[in-house]
Amino acid sequence: MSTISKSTVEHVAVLCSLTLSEKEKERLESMLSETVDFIGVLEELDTNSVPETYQVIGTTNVFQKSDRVSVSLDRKEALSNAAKIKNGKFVTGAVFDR
Amino acid sequence: MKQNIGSKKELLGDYGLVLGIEIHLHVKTQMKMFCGCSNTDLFDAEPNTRVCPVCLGMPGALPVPNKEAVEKTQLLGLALSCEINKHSYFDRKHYFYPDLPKGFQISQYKEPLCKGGIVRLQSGNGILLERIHLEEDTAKSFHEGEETFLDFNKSGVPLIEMVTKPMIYSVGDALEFGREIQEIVRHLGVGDANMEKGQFRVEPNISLRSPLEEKEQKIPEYKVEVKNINSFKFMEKAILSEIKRQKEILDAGKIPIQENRGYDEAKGKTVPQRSKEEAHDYRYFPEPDIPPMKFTSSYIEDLKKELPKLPGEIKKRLISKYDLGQHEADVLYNEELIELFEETGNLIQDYKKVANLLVNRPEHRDKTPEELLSYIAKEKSRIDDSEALQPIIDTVIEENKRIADQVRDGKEEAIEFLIGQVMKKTRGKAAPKTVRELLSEKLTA
Ligand SMILES: [Zn+2]
Repeated sequence: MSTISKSTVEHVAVLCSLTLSEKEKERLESMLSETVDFIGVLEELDTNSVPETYQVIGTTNVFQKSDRVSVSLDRKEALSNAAKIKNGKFVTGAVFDR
Repeated sequence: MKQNIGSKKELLGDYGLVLGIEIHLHVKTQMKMFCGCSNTDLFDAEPNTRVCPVCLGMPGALPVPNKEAVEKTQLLGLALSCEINKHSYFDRKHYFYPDLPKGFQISQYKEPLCKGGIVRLQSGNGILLERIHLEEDTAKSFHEGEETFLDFNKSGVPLIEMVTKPMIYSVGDALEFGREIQEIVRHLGVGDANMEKGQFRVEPNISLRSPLEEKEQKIPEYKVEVKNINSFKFMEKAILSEIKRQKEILDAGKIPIQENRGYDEAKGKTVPQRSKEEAHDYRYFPEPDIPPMKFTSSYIEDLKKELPKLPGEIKKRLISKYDLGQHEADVLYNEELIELFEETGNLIQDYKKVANLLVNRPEHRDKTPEELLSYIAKEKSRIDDSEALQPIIDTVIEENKRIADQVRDGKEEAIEFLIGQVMKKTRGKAAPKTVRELLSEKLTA
Protein backbone atom coordinates (compact mmCIF):
# COMPACT_ATOMS: atom_id res chain seq x y z
CA MET A 1 0.00 0.00 0.00
CA SER A 2 2.22 2.69 -1.37
CA THR A 3 1.38 6.22 -0.14
CA ILE A 4 4.32 7.84 -1.92
CA SER A 5 4.24 7.98 -5.71
CA LYS A 6 7.23 8.00 -8.01
CA SER A 7 6.53 11.62 -8.95
CA THR A 8 6.66 12.61 -5.26
CA VAL A 9 10.05 10.93 -4.95
CA GLU A 10 11.25 12.85 -8.00
CA HIS A 11 9.92 16.13 -6.62
CA VAL A 12 11.61 15.61 -3.24
CA ALA A 13 14.84 14.70 -5.03
CA VAL A 14 14.76 18.01 -6.90
CA LEU A 15 14.17 19.92 -3.65
CA CYS A 16 17.14 18.16 -2.07
CA SER A 17 19.25 18.63 -5.17
CA LEU A 18 19.78 14.87 -5.48
CA THR A 19 20.23 12.95 -8.71
CA LEU A 20 18.62 9.52 -8.47
CA SER A 21 18.83 6.52 -10.77
CA GLU A 22 15.62 4.70 -11.76
CA LYS A 23 16.55 1.89 -9.41
CA GLU A 24 17.10 4.28 -6.49
CA LYS A 25 13.77 5.96 -7.20
CA GLU A 26 12.00 2.60 -6.99
CA ARG A 27 13.76 1.73 -3.77
CA LEU A 28 13.00 5.10 -2.19
CA GLU A 29 9.37 4.91 -3.28
CA SER A 30 8.83 1.85 -1.13
CA MET A 31 11.13 3.01 1.70
CA LEU A 32 9.47 6.42 2.03
CA SER A 33 6.03 4.83 1.81
CA GLU A 34 6.94 2.48 4.63
CA THR A 35 8.16 5.40 6.76
CA VAL A 36 5.06 7.49 6.14
CA ASP A 37 2.81 4.52 6.82
CA PHE A 38 4.63 3.91 10.10
CA ILE A 39 4.01 7.46 11.25
CA GLY A 40 0.46 7.08 9.97
CA VAL A 41 -0.21 5.04 13.10
CA LEU A 42 -0.80 8.41 14.79
CA GLU A 43 -3.89 8.85 12.63
CA GLU A 44 -5.58 6.30 14.88
CA LEU A 45 -5.61 8.88 17.70
CA ASP A 46 -8.53 11.28 17.95
CA THR A 47 -6.78 14.67 18.01
CA ASN A 48 -9.86 16.83 17.36
CA SER A 49 -9.71 18.50 20.77
CA VAL A 50 -5.92 18.92 20.80
CA PRO A 51 -4.70 22.32 19.58
CA GLU A 52 -1.78 22.40 17.15
CA THR A 53 1.54 23.50 18.55
CA TYR A 54 5.21 23.54 17.68
CA GLN A 55 6.37 24.44 21.14
CA VAL A 56 5.50 22.73 24.41
CA ILE A 57 7.64 24.45 27.04
CA GLY A 58 5.57 27.64 27.11
CA THR A 59 8.40 30.18 27.14
CA THR A 60 8.10 33.41 25.13
CA ASN A 61 10.37 36.32 24.23
CA VAL A 62 13.72 34.60 24.54
CA PHE A 63 16.31 37.04 23.17
CA GLN A 64 20.11 37.34 22.98
CA LYS A 65 21.96 38.80 25.91
CA SER A 66 23.42 42.05 24.67
CA ASP A 67 26.81 41.41 26.30
CA ARG A 68 27.43 38.37 24.17
CA VAL A 69 28.97 40.14 21.17
CA SER A 70 31.69 38.36 19.26
CA VAL A 71 31.75 34.69 19.81
CA SER A 72 33.03 34.32 16.26
CA LEU A 73 35.38 31.55 15.30
CA ASP A 74 38.75 32.38 13.86
CA ARG A 75 38.85 31.82 10.13
CA LYS A 76 41.06 28.76 10.23
CA GLU A 77 38.63 27.05 12.55
CA ALA A 78 35.60 28.19 10.55
CA LEU A 79 37.04 26.71 7.37
CA SER A 80 38.44 23.58 8.97
CA ASN A 81 35.67 21.26 7.70
CA ALA A 82 35.59 22.65 4.17
CA ALA A 83 36.34 20.21 1.36
CA LYS A 84 37.96 23.00 -0.63
CA ILE A 85 39.15 26.51 0.31
CA LYS A 86 40.42 29.40 -1.79
CA ASN A 87 41.34 32.92 -0.64
CA GLY A 88 39.63 32.48 2.69
CA LYS A 89 36.38 31.31 1.09
CA PHE A 90 34.54 28.01 0.89
CA VAL A 91 34.51 26.54 -2.62
CA THR A 92 31.70 24.47 -4.13
CA GLY A 93 30.82 23.33 -7.63
CA ALA A 94 29.32 26.01 -9.88
CA VAL A 95 25.73 26.92 -9.14
CA PHE A 96 23.64 29.42 -10.98
CA ASP A 97 22.25 32.65 -9.64
CA ARG A 98 18.91 32.58 -7.93
CA MET B 1 10.81 63.68 -7.15
CA LYS B 2 9.61 64.23 -10.70
CA GLN B 3 11.53 62.37 -13.37
CA ASN B 4 11.45 63.00 -17.06
CA ILE B 5 10.69 59.52 -18.30
CA GLY B 6 9.06 60.21 -21.62
CA SER B 7 5.38 60.55 -22.19
CA LYS B 8 3.19 57.81 -20.79
CA LYS B 9 1.56 57.16 -24.12
CA GLU B 10 4.85 56.81 -25.95
CA LEU B 11 6.11 54.34 -23.38
CA LEU B 12 3.05 52.21 -22.76
CA GLY B 13 0.71 52.68 -25.69
CA ASP B 14 -2.75 51.70 -24.46
CA TYR B 15 -1.42 49.41 -21.72
CA GLY B 16 -1.50 50.30 -18.04
CA LEU B 17 1.54 49.64 -15.86
CA VAL B 18 1.11 47.62 -12.65
CA LEU B 19 4.02 47.47 -10.21
CA GLY B 20 4.54 45.86 -6.84
CA ILE B 21 7.76 46.34 -4.93
CA GLU B 22 9.65 44.09 -2.57
CA ILE B 23 12.41 45.67 -0.49
CA HIS B 24 15.07 43.83 1.51
CA LEU B 25 17.17 45.89 3.89
CA HIS B 26 19.90 45.20 6.42
CA VAL B 27 19.08 46.20 9.98
CA LYS B 28 21.82 48.11 11.75
CA THR B 29 22.48 46.20 14.97
CA GLN B 30 25.39 45.34 17.26
CA MET B 31 25.00 41.61 16.68
CA LYS B 32 23.70 39.40 13.91
CA MET B 33 20.11 38.14 13.87
CA PHE B 34 20.47 34.83 15.70
CA CYS B 35 24.04 34.73 17.03
CA GLY B 36 26.59 36.88 18.84
CA CYS B 37 28.75 37.63 15.79
CA SER B 38 29.39 41.34 15.33
CA ASN B 39 27.23 43.08 12.74
CA THR B 40 29.27 46.27 12.43
CA ASP B 41 31.54 47.18 9.47
CA LEU B 42 30.90 43.81 7.87
CA PHE B 43 31.54 45.18 4.40
CA ASP B 44 35.23 45.75 5.17
CA ALA B 45 35.88 42.54 7.10
CA GLU B 46 38.05 39.76 5.65
CA PRO B 47 35.97 36.85 4.25
CA ASN B 48 34.69 34.34 6.84
CA THR B 49 36.01 36.20 9.89
CA ARG B 50 32.59 37.11 11.37
CA VAL B 51 31.18 33.63 11.58
CA CYS B 52 30.19 31.07 14.20
CA PRO B 53 28.43 27.70 14.27
CA VAL B 54 24.99 29.42 14.17
CA CYS B 55 25.55 31.60 11.09
CA LEU B 56 27.57 28.88 9.35
CA GLY B 57 24.47 26.70 9.70
CA MET B 58 26.17 23.91 11.61
CA PRO B 59 24.02 21.07 12.96
CA GLY B 60 23.00 21.49 16.60
CA ALA B 61 23.67 25.23 16.82
CA LEU B 62 20.93 27.15 18.62
CA PRO B 63 19.63 30.39 17.09
CA VAL B 64 18.54 33.08 19.59
CA PRO B 65 16.78 36.14 18.16
CA ASN B 66 18.13 39.67 18.45
CA LYS B 67 15.82 42.05 20.35
CA GLU B 68 17.39 45.15 18.78
CA ALA B 69 16.51 43.89 15.30
CA VAL B 70 12.95 43.06 16.38
CA GLU B 71 12.47 46.54 17.89
CA LYS B 72 13.87 48.33 14.86
CA THR B 73 11.57 46.35 12.56
CA GLN B 74 8.60 47.32 14.72
CA LEU B 75 9.74 50.96 14.80
CA LEU B 76 9.81 51.00 10.99
CA GLY B 77 6.37 49.38 11.02
CA LEU B 78 5.01 52.11 13.29
CA ALA B 79 6.52 54.81 11.08
CA LEU B 80 4.66 53.30 8.12
CA SER B 81 1.36 52.97 10.02
CA CYS B 82 1.49 49.17 10.14
CA GLU B 83 -0.36 47.12 12.68
CA ILE B 84 2.17 45.61 15.11
CA ASN B 85 1.32 41.96 15.70
CA LYS B 86 1.01 41.17 19.39
CA HIS B 87 1.85 37.56 18.65
CA SER B 88 4.60 36.77 16.20
CA TYR B 89 7.02 33.93 15.52
CA PHE B 90 9.68 32.70 13.11
CA ASP B 91 9.22 30.06 10.40
CA ARG B 92 11.66 27.91 8.50
CA LYS B 93 11.69 28.51 4.76
CA HIS B 94 13.34 25.59 2.98
CA TYR B 95 15.39 25.68 -0.13
CA PHE B 96 18.61 24.11 -1.25
CA TYR B 97 21.49 26.39 -2.12
CA PRO B 98 25.12 26.65 -0.95
CA ASP B 99 24.62 30.14 0.53
CA LEU B 100 22.23 28.51 3.02
CA PRO B 101 23.98 25.37 4.26
CA LYS B 102 21.43 24.42 6.91
CA GLY B 103 18.84 23.99 4.14
CA PHE B 104 16.39 26.58 5.42
CA GLN B 105 16.26 30.29 6.10
CA ILE B 106 14.79 31.49 9.38
CA SER B 107 12.11 33.88 8.22
CA GLN B 108 8.52 34.79 9.03
CA TYR B 109 5.46 33.52 7.20
CA LYS B 110 2.13 33.37 9.03
CA GLU B 111 2.61 35.97 11.76
CA PRO B 112 5.06 38.67 10.60
CA LEU B 113 6.05 41.42 13.04
CA CYS B 114 4.03 44.04 11.11
CA LYS B 115 0.90 43.87 8.97
CA GLY B 116 -0.51 46.40 6.51
CA GLY B 117 0.85 49.95 6.43
CA ILE B 118 0.86 52.82 3.98
CA VAL B 119 3.32 55.22 2.33
CA ARG B 120 1.96 58.56 1.12
CA LEU B 121 3.59 59.96 -2.00
CA GLN B 122 3.81 63.66 -2.88
CA SER B 123 1.13 63.17 -5.54
CA GLY B 124 -1.24 62.16 -2.74
CA ASN B 125 -1.24 58.53 -3.93
CA GLY B 126 -1.07 56.09 -1.03
CA ILE B 127 0.92 52.87 -1.52
CA LEU B 128 -0.40 50.06 0.68
CA LEU B 129 1.98 47.55 2.24
CA GLU B 130 1.15 43.87 2.65
CA ARG B 131 3.52 43.24 5.54
CA ILE B 132 6.96 43.79 7.04
CA HIS B 133 8.83 40.81 8.42
CA LEU B 134 12.25 39.94 9.79
CA GLU B 135 14.58 37.19 8.59
CA GLU B 136 18.27 36.32 8.26
CA ASP B 137 20.36 37.15 5.21
CA THR B 138 22.31 34.37 3.49
CA ALA B 139 26.01 34.07 2.67
CA LYS B 140 27.53 35.93 -0.26
CA SER B 141 28.36 33.79 -3.26
CA PHE B 142 30.77 34.61 -6.05
CA HIS B 143 30.56 32.66 -9.28
CA GLU B 144 33.70 32.04 -11.24
CA GLY B 145 33.92 29.49 -14.03
CA GLU B 146 33.24 26.02 -12.69
CA GLU B 147 33.35 27.10 -9.06
CA THR B 148 31.29 29.07 -6.56
CA PHE B 149 32.99 30.80 -3.62
CA LEU B 150 31.27 31.51 -0.33
CA ASP B 151 31.81 34.17 2.31
CA PHE B 152 29.57 33.78 5.38
CA ASN B 153 30.18 37.22 6.95
CA LYS B 154 26.80 38.37 5.59
CA SER B 155 25.07 35.15 6.63
CA GLY B 156 22.76 35.85 9.54
CA VAL B 157 22.64 39.63 9.16
CA PRO B 158 19.15 40.79 10.22
CA LEU B 159 17.15 41.43 7.09
CA ILE B 160 13.81 43.24 6.87
CA GLU B 161 11.51 42.28 4.01
CA MET B 162 8.76 44.66 3.00
CA VAL B 163 6.17 43.95 0.31
CA THR B 164 3.71 46.39 -1.28
CA LYS B 165 0.39 45.55 -2.84
CA PRO B 166 0.57 45.66 -6.66
CA MET B 167 -0.82 49.17 -6.81
CA ILE B 168 1.96 51.37 -8.14
CA TYR B 169 1.03 52.62 -11.59
CA SER B 170 3.97 54.75 -12.74
CA VAL B 171 7.75 54.55 -12.84
CA GLY B 172 7.94 57.91 -11.06
CA ASP B 173 5.82 56.63 -8.14
CA ALA B 174 7.95 53.49 -7.90
CA LEU B 175 11.14 55.54 -7.65
CA GLU B 176 9.62 57.94 -5.15
CA PHE B 177 8.39 55.02 -3.04
CA GLY B 178 11.85 53.44 -2.98
CA ARG B 179 13.60 56.70 -2.10
CA GLU B 180 11.03 57.53 0.55
CA ILE B 181 11.52 54.17 2.29
CA GLN B 182 15.30 54.57 2.08
CA GLU B 183 15.06 58.03 3.64
CA ILE B 184 12.79 56.84 6.46
CA VAL B 185 15.00 53.81 7.20
CA ARG B 186 18.05 56.09 7.54
CA HIS B 187 16.17 58.70 9.51
CA LEU B 188 14.98 56.14 12.07
CA GLY B 189 18.45 54.61 12.35
CA VAL B 190 16.99 51.25 11.29
CA GLY B 191 19.69 50.80 8.65
CA ASP B 192 22.30 52.56 6.50
CA ALA B 193 20.41 51.47 3.36
CA ASN B 194 23.45 51.73 1.08
CA MET B 195 22.39 50.13 -2.20
CA GLU B 196 25.88 49.59 -3.54
CA LYS B 197 26.83 47.67 -0.40
CA GLY B 198 23.74 45.48 -0.78
CA GLN B 199 22.16 46.91 2.36
CA PHE B 200 19.04 48.02 0.49
CA ARG B 201 17.74 45.87 -2.35
CA VAL B 202 14.70 46.77 -4.39
CA GLU B 203 12.90 44.18 -6.50
CA PRO B 204 10.05 45.47 -8.63
CA ASN B 205 7.51 43.05 -10.06
CA ILE B 206 6.19 44.35 -13.30
CA SER B 207 3.20 43.64 -15.51
CA LEU B 208 1.09 45.44 -18.09
CA ARG B 209 -2.68 45.32 -18.41
CA SER B 210 -5.14 46.08 -21.16
CA PRO B 211 -7.45 49.12 -20.99
CA LEU B 212 -10.32 46.71 -20.15
CA GLU B 213 -8.38 45.11 -17.27
CA GLU B 214 -7.46 48.60 -16.09
CA LYS B 215 -11.10 49.69 -16.15
CA GLU B 216 -12.14 46.61 -14.19
CA GLN B 217 -9.25 47.11 -11.72
CA LYS B 218 -7.96 43.62 -12.56
CA ILE B 219 -4.43 42.56 -11.70
CA PRO B 220 -2.74 40.88 -14.71
CA GLU B 221 -2.38 37.10 -14.56
CA TYR B 222 1.40 37.22 -14.85
CA LYS B 223 4.18 39.22 -13.26
CA VAL B 224 7.90 39.49 -13.89
CA GLU B 225 10.16 40.04 -10.91
CA VAL B 226 13.43 41.85 -11.57
CA LYS B 227 16.39 41.21 -9.27
CA ASN B 228 20.03 42.38 -9.03
CA ILE B 229 19.22 46.08 -8.87
CA ASN B 230 21.76 48.12 -6.90
CA SER B 231 20.75 51.70 -7.65
CA PHE B 232 17.60 53.70 -8.36
CA LYS B 233 19.02 54.62 -11.74
CA PHE B 234 19.19 50.93 -12.68
CA MET B 235 15.75 50.36 -11.21
CA GLU B 236 14.34 52.97 -13.56
CA LYS B 237 16.22 51.51 -16.53
CA ALA B 238 15.17 47.97 -15.63
CA ILE B 239 11.47 48.90 -15.42
CA LEU B 240 11.60 50.85 -18.68
CA SER B 241 13.31 48.04 -20.57
CA GLU B 242 10.90 45.50 -19.07
CA ILE B 243 7.88 47.59 -20.18
CA LYS B 244 9.26 47.66 -23.71
CA ARG B 245 9.86 43.89 -23.73
CA GLN B 246 6.43 43.01 -22.33
CA LYS B 247 4.66 45.43 -24.65
CA GLU B 248 6.20 43.71 -27.69
CA ILE B 249 5.05 40.30 -26.45
CA LEU B 250 1.51 41.56 -25.73
CA ASP B 251 1.34 43.39 -29.07
CA ALA B 252 2.08 40.05 -30.73
CA GLY B 253 -0.97 38.61 -28.97
CA LYS B 254 1.00 36.56 -26.46
CA ILE B 255 1.34 36.73 -22.67
CA PRO B 256 4.77 37.17 -21.05
CA ILE B 257 5.99 34.21 -18.99
CA GLN B 258 5.87 34.64 -15.22
CA GLU B 259 9.52 34.49 -14.21
CA ASN B 260 12.42 36.10 -12.38
CA ARG B 261 14.73 38.22 -14.47
CA GLY B 262 17.96 39.95 -13.57
CA TYR B 263 19.02 43.41 -14.70
CA ASP B 264 22.15 43.23 -16.84
CA GLU B 265 23.92 46.58 -16.57
CA ALA B 266 26.16 45.97 -19.56
CA LYS B 267 23.28 45.04 -21.88
CA GLY B 268 20.98 47.69 -20.38
CA LYS B 269 18.11 45.20 -20.22
CA THR B 270 16.70 42.35 -18.19
CA VAL B 271 17.70 38.76 -18.85
CA PRO B 272 16.00 35.57 -17.64
CA GLN B 273 17.42 34.03 -14.48
CA ARG B 274 17.83 30.33 -14.67
CA SER B 275 15.97 28.67 -11.84
CA LYS B 276 14.05 25.50 -11.25
CA GLU B 277 10.29 25.91 -11.09
CA GLU B 278 10.02 23.52 -8.16
CA ALA B 279 12.23 25.79 -6.09
CA HIS B 280 9.12 27.60 -4.86
CA ASP B 281 8.03 24.69 -2.70
CA TYR B 282 9.36 26.23 0.52
CA ARG B 283 7.62 23.90 3.01
CA TYR B 284 7.28 26.60 5.67
CA PHE B 285 6.77 25.50 9.25
CA PRO B 286 7.29 27.22 12.63
CA GLU B 287 10.92 27.31 13.78
CA PRO B 288 10.83 24.92 16.76
CA ASP B 289 14.13 26.21 18.20
CA ILE B 290 12.77 29.71 18.85
CA PRO B 291 9.90 30.36 21.30
CA PRO B 292 7.19 32.72 20.02
CA MET B 293 7.22 36.44 20.78
CA LYS B 294 4.44 38.26 22.59
CA PHE B 295 4.11 42.03 22.77
CA THR B 296 1.84 43.96 25.11
CA SER B 297 -0.09 47.12 24.22
CA SER B 298 2.02 49.12 26.64
CA TYR B 299 5.24 47.89 25.01
CA ILE B 300 3.91 49.03 21.63
CA GLU B 301 2.81 52.38 23.09
CA ASP B 302 6.29 52.92 24.55
CA LEU B 303 7.86 52.15 21.19
CA LYS B 304 5.56 54.68 19.55
CA LYS B 305 6.95 57.35 21.88
CA GLU B 306 10.45 56.64 20.56
CA LEU B 307 9.33 57.39 17.02
CA PRO B 308 10.96 60.60 15.77
CA LYS B 309 9.18 62.92 13.35
CA LEU B 310 9.44 61.60 9.81
CA PRO B 311 11.18 63.45 6.95
CA GLY B 312 7.85 64.00 5.18
CA GLU B 313 6.31 65.60 8.29
CA ILE B 314 9.38 67.78 8.88
CA LYS B 315 9.27 69.10 5.31
CA LYS B 316 5.51 69.63 5.46
CA ARG B 317 5.99 71.77 8.59
CA LEU B 318 8.66 73.90 6.86
CA ILE B 319 6.43 74.43 3.84
CA SER B 320 3.37 75.52 5.79
CA LYS B 321 5.08 77.43 8.60
CA TYR B 322 7.51 79.46 6.49
CA ASP B 323 5.69 79.43 3.15
CA LEU B 324 8.51 77.56 1.37
CA GLY B 325 8.34 75.46 -1.79
CA GLN B 326 8.85 71.66 -1.90
CA HIS B 327 12.31 72.06 -3.45
CA GLU B 328 13.50 74.45 -0.72
CA ALA B 329 12.17 72.11 1.96
CA ASP B 330 13.88 69.12 0.30
CA VAL B 331 17.26 70.87 0.15
CA LEU B 332 17.07 72.22 3.71
CA TYR B 333 16.21 68.72 4.96
CA ASN B 334 18.68 66.76 2.81
CA GLU B 335 21.60 69.10 3.53
CA GLU B 336 20.79 69.20 7.27
CA LEU B 337 20.28 72.96 7.21
CA ILE B 338 16.97 73.21 9.08
CA GLU B 339 18.46 74.36 12.39
CA LEU B 340 20.63 77.01 10.72
CA PHE B 341 17.67 78.11 8.60
CA GLU B 342 15.34 78.55 11.56
CA GLU B 343 17.86 80.30 13.84
CA THR B 344 18.90 82.74 11.12
CA GLY B 345 15.29 83.28 10.10
CA ASN B 346 14.38 84.08 13.72
CA LEU B 347 17.22 86.62 13.86
CA ILE B 348 16.30 88.59 10.75
CA GLN B 349 12.60 87.74 10.48
CA ASP B 350 12.82 87.04 6.77
CA TYR B 351 12.56 83.27 6.31
CA LYS B 352 12.09 83.38 2.55
CA LYS B 353 15.36 85.27 2.09
CA VAL B 354 17.34 82.90 4.33
CA ALA B 355 15.89 79.86 2.56
CA ASN B 356 16.81 81.31 -0.83
CA LEU B 357 20.34 82.00 0.25
CA LEU B 358 20.94 78.56 1.79
CA VAL B 359 19.31 76.68 -1.07
CA ASN B 360 20.88 78.55 -3.99
CA ARG B 361 24.26 79.53 -2.56
CA PRO B 362 25.91 76.46 -0.99
CA GLU B 363 29.02 78.53 -0.10
CA HIS B 364 27.05 80.11 2.78
CA ARG B 365 26.05 76.85 4.43
CA ASP B 366 29.03 76.67 6.79
CA LYS B 367 28.35 80.08 8.35
CA THR B 368 26.87 80.76 11.78
CA PRO B 369 23.47 82.49 12.04
CA GLU B 370 25.29 85.70 13.10
CA GLU B 371 27.60 85.60 10.07
CA LEU B 372 24.61 85.04 7.81
CA LEU B 373 22.83 87.95 9.49
CA SER B 374 25.69 90.37 8.78
CA TYR B 375 26.06 89.03 5.24
CA ILE B 376 22.37 89.57 4.53
CA ALA B 377 22.46 93.05 6.12
CA LYS B 378 25.33 93.98 3.81
CA GLU B 379 23.47 92.54 0.83
CA LYS B 380 20.46 94.63 1.70
CA SER B 381 22.45 97.89 1.59
CA ARG B 382 23.78 96.91 -1.85
CA ILE B 383 23.15 99.22 -4.72
CA ASP B 384 21.68 96.80 -7.15
CA ASP B 385 19.30 98.79 -9.32
CA SER B 386 20.52 100.00 -12.65
CA GLU B 387 18.90 103.40 -12.35
CA ALA B 388 21.01 104.27 -9.33
CA LEU B 389 24.16 102.80 -10.88
CA GLN B 390 23.81 104.27 -14.36
CA PRO B 391 25.08 107.82 -13.54
CA ILE B 392 28.06 106.43 -11.63
CA ILE B 393 28.95 104.16 -14.55
CA ASP B 394 28.70 107.07 -16.99
CA THR B 395 31.09 109.09 -14.81
CA VAL B 396 33.60 106.24 -14.62
CA ILE B 397 33.56 105.78 -18.41
CA GLU B 398 34.00 109.55 -18.85
CA GLU B 399 36.97 109.60 -16.48
CA ASN B 400 38.64 106.55 -18.06
CA LYS B 401 38.16 107.02 -21.77
CA ARG B 402 41.29 105.13 -22.81
CA ILE B 403 40.41 102.03 -20.81
CA ALA B 404 36.81 102.20 -22.04
CA ASP B 405 38.10 102.25 -25.61
CA GLN B 406 40.17 99.15 -24.93
CA VAL B 407 37.01 97.34 -23.82
CA ARG B 408 35.24 98.57 -26.96
CA ASP B 409 38.14 97.13 -29.00
CA GLY B 410 37.52 93.73 -27.45
CA LYS B 411 40.09 93.69 -24.66
CA GLU B 412 37.76 92.04 -22.21
CA GLU B 413 39.98 92.02 -19.13
CA ALA B 414 40.07 95.85 -19.18
CA ILE B 415 36.50 95.80 -17.90
CA GLU B 416 37.78 94.63 -14.48
CA PHE B 417 39.48 97.98 -13.95
CA LEU B 418 36.26 99.87 -14.69
CA ILE B 419 34.28 97.62 -12.31
CA GLY B 420 36.90 98.42 -9.68
CA GLN B 421 36.40 102.12 -10.19
CA VAL B 422 32.62 101.83 -9.78
CA MET B 423 33.13 99.79 -6.58
CA LYS B 424 35.46 102.48 -5.29
CA LYS B 425 32.97 105.25 -5.97
CA THR B 426 30.15 103.35 -4.23
CA ARG B 427 32.46 102.34 -1.36
CA GLY B 428 31.94 98.69 -2.17
CA LYS B 429 28.18 98.80 -2.07
CA ALA B 430 27.49 98.24 -5.78
CA ALA B 431 26.56 94.73 -6.83
CA PRO B 432 29.52 93.67 -9.00
CA LYS B 433 27.41 91.40 -11.21
CA THR B 434 25.02 94.23 -12.12
CA VAL B 435 27.90 96.66 -12.69
CA ARG B 436 29.53 94.21 -15.08
CA GLU B 437 26.30 93.74 -17.00
CA LEU B 438 25.68 97.48 -17.29
CA LEU B 439 29.25 98.20 -18.37
CA SER B 440 29.39 95.57 -21.06
CA GLU B 441 25.95 96.58 -22.29
CA LYS B 442 27.22 100.11 -22.65
CA LEU B 443 30.62 99.33 -24.17
CA THR B 444 30.10 96.32 -26.38
CA ALA B 445 26.63 97.06 -27.75
ZN1 LIG C 1 27.50 33.96 13.97
